[in-house]
Amino acid sequence: MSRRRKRLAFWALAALAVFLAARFAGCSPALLWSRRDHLADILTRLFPPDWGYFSRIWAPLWATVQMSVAGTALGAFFALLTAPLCAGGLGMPVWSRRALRLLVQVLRSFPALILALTATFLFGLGTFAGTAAITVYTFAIMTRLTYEDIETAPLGPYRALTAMGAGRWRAFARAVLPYAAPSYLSNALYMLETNVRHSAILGYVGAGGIGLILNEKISWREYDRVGAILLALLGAVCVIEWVSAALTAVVTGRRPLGKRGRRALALGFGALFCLCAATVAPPDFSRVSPVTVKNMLLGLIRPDWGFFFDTGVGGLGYLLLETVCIALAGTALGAFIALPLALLGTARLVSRPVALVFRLAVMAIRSVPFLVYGLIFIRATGPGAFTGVLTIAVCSVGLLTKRFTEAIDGLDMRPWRALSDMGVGAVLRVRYALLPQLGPALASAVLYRFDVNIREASVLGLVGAGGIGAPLIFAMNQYAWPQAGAIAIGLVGLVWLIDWASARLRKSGR
Amino acid sequence: MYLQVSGVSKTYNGRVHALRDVGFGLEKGEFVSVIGPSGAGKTTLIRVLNGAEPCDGGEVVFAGVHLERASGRAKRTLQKNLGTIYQDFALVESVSALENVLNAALPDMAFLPAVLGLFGRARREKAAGLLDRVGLGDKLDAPVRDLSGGQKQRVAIARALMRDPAMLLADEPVASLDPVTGRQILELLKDIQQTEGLTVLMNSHNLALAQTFSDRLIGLRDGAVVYDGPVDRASEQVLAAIYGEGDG
Repeated sequence: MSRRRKRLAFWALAALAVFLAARFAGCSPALLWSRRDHLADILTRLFPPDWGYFSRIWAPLWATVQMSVAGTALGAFFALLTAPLCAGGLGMPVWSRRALRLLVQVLRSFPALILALTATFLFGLGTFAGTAAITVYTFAIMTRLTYEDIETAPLGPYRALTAMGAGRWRAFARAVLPYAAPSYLSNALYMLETNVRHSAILGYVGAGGIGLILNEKISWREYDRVGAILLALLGAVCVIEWVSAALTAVVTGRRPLGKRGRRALALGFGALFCLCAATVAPPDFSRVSPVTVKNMLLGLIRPDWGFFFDTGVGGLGYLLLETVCIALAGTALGAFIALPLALLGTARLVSRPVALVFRLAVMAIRSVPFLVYGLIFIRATGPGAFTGVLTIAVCSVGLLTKRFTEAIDGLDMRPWRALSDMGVGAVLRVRYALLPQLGPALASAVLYRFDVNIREASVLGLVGAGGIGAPLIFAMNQYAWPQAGAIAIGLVGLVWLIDWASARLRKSGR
Repeated sequence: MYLQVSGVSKTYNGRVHALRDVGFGLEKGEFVSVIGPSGAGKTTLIRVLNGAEPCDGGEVVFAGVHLERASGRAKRTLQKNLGTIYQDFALVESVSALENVLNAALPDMAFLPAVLGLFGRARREKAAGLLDRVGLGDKLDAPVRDLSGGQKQRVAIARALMRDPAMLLADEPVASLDPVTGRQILELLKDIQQTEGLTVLMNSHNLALAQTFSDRLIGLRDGAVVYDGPVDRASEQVLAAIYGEGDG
């Protein structure tokens, strides 16, 4: 009985938190409903796309793919070198572990877009800045995932090798790496998928890629061309997801490949990486002055504490709270929409053609960069946090549905069959035969997505959709480094706090 | 006859004949085992009888009602009178034994209380009582994944009894259990059958257990009934006809 009551209390609290967050973010379903025509109008004008415009899309689309492939490969490579230094248990020096973990935690707090904006100050406009941003972004996430994997590896073989006199790095390569490799490679492939979407918006801050023309065409309301760009992007995402799924099957051992096959694969990927890396435009240092770099660093060291501790509306605390509320309400709404979509997208519950249609629809939702949603919703609901909530919700739908569908595909369907034999209806079967099994997987997907959404919500300000993003980007563009530094520190603290809280939640859920 | 099956046939993909012209009757309170080699159509028969799959032809009359023609509410009322237990238990592993038994009450509840899990005290007490009846009175709140195979099948039996069925269909109930546990489970089933006056139709490929616990045997081979009679008259020749020469 007490377990039931505890669970009830948890759900009541969660619902209350989401409700309060939605109130704070000014969510108004009535407003959205009353302006639904605007939304429908934009969506219908995306079709038919301007087919003639495709010839102008290929170059920026290639730049986008190039930035993601080169950035992911470089970031993953550096992560592999750094992760052993961050992992406990391998006997690496404590000081380097602490310093590197701090660095990773700090870098992890910033969305790719903010990193790209920073990179444009250092390397000038163009794809080099974008590649650098994707590299750093991938590096931060991959290092953390990899050192967590290393820490779960059995260390007996490693200790045995070091005891025999093998150096730590050699022992790592022979005894720990084989254990961590499948997970490392599939994480890297997953990063590649998400990085295509991230690269697609880097153009907003001048870091190259398809984002530049996308922003332009949305601003000029040439929606048929926007449609063409989105279609091209969907194609690219489809290809990359298909390749990544095939490669994931290889690296996790589900599809065994001979030695020659593996060598060919590695060679092919190496060639692709070289092609991508070699054709990245070189950095343009002409407008970079040492003074700017110095001021940037000084801003971080000497932030604007007045702004930092300002508790009023427009102060840092308020903006961060707004960002959290946008992320929380958006994640909750997204999860709410994603669950039925996931159930309809698996051939285990519905017929194959129906599942295929829903999977394609979700893939289409997922391929659109999230700032595009922001720009579309803003036409309906106006600038403000509510637009941010809607944007975050739709973006979460894309990835949450994918994770949910994967979880459903791994379910034990026998209780479902038993309840069906008893004459229990479909909704109740989902509730009693599937949800109890899905619980942990869904919770961890939602928590992970919330963590990502905090970062995404902090760039929504770029399109006027509330949160901490607008003040941060304004400050950076005006070279107001002390203020930017204060926001950056606030963001790092917030992400750290969310990390801590979600780790606690995970532990108590177990 | 309490359950009358006549002329039932079932084909998959229009080619594989799972059941051919199957006919037999069951008296109320009988314990009957369907025996036969793997692929003889035993599981298909159970799935047709509990309404999980439609049959292509023939009739299934249960307590005077045609099961094969029933649909919607009428079919659900019929299903309510049939409890099924499975070889693989078909329980939700992550929730407690009690919650699994309560799942059987779902079809009788209004939608909203069912979704919210408001089963009410009466149903909870009944479920707890049934778990006590099958010998799991001390495991009410244990997650099913922590139970042994025999205990899981006991939970499944309690779940089937939760609906006060008139008849139990048991699809290889002890095939995943070790011999000692399997015998205990069948003793429990037999005991319940005799005290509650239930009718039991069990599939089994374990001939010895079927002979020990049943009043009657039905032999299936290639989807057709090749024997229907008392246990003691199932001679060597009869068994040879059911299991085939040399490949039983």
